[in-house]
Amino acid sequence: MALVLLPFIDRGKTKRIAKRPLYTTLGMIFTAEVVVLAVWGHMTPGAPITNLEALLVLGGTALLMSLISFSAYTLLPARAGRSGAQQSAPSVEPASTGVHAASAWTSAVFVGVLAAGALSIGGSINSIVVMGVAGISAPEVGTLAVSLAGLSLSVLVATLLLYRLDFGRGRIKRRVRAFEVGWRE
Amino acid sequence: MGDKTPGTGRRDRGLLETVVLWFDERMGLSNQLLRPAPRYSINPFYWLGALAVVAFVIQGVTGSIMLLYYVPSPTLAYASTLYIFQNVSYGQFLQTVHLYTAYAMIMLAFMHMMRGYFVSVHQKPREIMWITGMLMGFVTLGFGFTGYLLPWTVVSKSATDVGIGMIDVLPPPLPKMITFLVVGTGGDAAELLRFFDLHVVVLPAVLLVLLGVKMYMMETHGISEPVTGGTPDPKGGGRTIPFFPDVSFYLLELAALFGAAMLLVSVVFPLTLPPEYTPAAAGQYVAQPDWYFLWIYQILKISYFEQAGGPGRAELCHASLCGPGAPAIH
Repeated sequence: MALVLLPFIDRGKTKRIAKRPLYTTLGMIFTAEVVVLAVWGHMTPGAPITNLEALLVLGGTALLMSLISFSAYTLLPARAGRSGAQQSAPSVEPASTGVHAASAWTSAVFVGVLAAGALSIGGSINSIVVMGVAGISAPEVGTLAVSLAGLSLSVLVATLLLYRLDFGRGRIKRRVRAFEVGWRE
Repeated sequence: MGDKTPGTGRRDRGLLETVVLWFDERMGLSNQLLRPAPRYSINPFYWLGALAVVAFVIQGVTGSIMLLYYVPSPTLAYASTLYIFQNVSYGQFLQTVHLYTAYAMIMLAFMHMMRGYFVSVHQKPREIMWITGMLMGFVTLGFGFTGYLLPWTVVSKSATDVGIGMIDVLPPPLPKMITFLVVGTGGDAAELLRFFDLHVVVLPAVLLVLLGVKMYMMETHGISEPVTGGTPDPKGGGRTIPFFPDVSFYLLELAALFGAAMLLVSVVFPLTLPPEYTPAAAGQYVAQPDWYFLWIYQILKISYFEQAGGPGRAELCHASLCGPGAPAIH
């Protein structure tokens, strides 16, 4: 019902995702919950769900999505500031859509990497717990290996992205550059 | 268009363009439904709803062919479905395409909704468009719900019974009303016939009306502006491209890609028909609704909602036979 009546609940004037953190986060949580519930239902046919399980899974998903959203909004503050500056003092030059697109893609990839990392951590823990309870089996070892590989890849891509984003101040870049130069010497 | 002089422009036109322009001059298509589109709309994310309509058309075509053989009766539904499967040329392929395209239609509708949510298409003046779209989404889910029962397999009947059990969580008097509307009081025969009528007559008609209303409003308001701050397009100017051939060919490409994907998936992963429904056969399975209702079903299984008056697990699971060792069916 909330989705049906959304136009009368969300009365915001701006379309920019950067300026709609609340509704963007709520949308991310809703999408993630739908996927998690469907996958969970597929994996546990007919099994009842205790309140604690529901709280952990649904609450954990909401928390994870909130953290991802918070991280994305914190790491990409320049975009909102830039668009605000454009509104207050219109520039002669048109806005560069290339920069916007690059920021959007970077943001999307970062969110995806964080999600992949969270899934990998969850998969690794799950495999370890399953092997601890039911003994070591080839499929679980395979799952664990894939999860750890995914985690490593997520960390690598996240590091590269952080290096690229640079928090808008150049500190990481300078540090890494200094490290690289020092290492070469 | 109307002031063309003999010999001007005609020499450059191909046959197809000449035919299209002939119709356009007489029907005014380019002035109304087929007006120019903004450049930024040449992006698949702007046409997810259009792809859902393409899926609806594919469903209409494949469903119409199956209608030639299908009999909506508990004693003949499975036999006629099996006949299509085994005896009709490409029958198995036809049913597979129908099922997978239905899944794609639901997924596209969901993606269309969420994309619209994130880019705020629901804002003024498109509020009623949003609500109309939501209603179309419910109708799409209704297609899935009603169509799933028709083969009368142990999977489809059990899943549908679970779905009917889920109606009970709605506030009264809706559960009794909806249950009466979709099931009636005549047992399996009435249930199947009503689902069949809803699936092939009522829901398509409702969807077409809603689609017409939404398209009319889209023509009124135009395509939604991009979140990156693009200029809303007026009905002309340099930031638009003509519907023919640019937009129409782009849409044809998208539709062809989508159709090819559906055919390819259907060939690679052909459908297998589960056994016919009998109460005894249903007892061998843990009944679950199809994937697009699974998230609601999962919420209803939480202890809190069961204790709060929602349907218990025994009611949600068909014939109270949700044994832990039984295989799941979807």
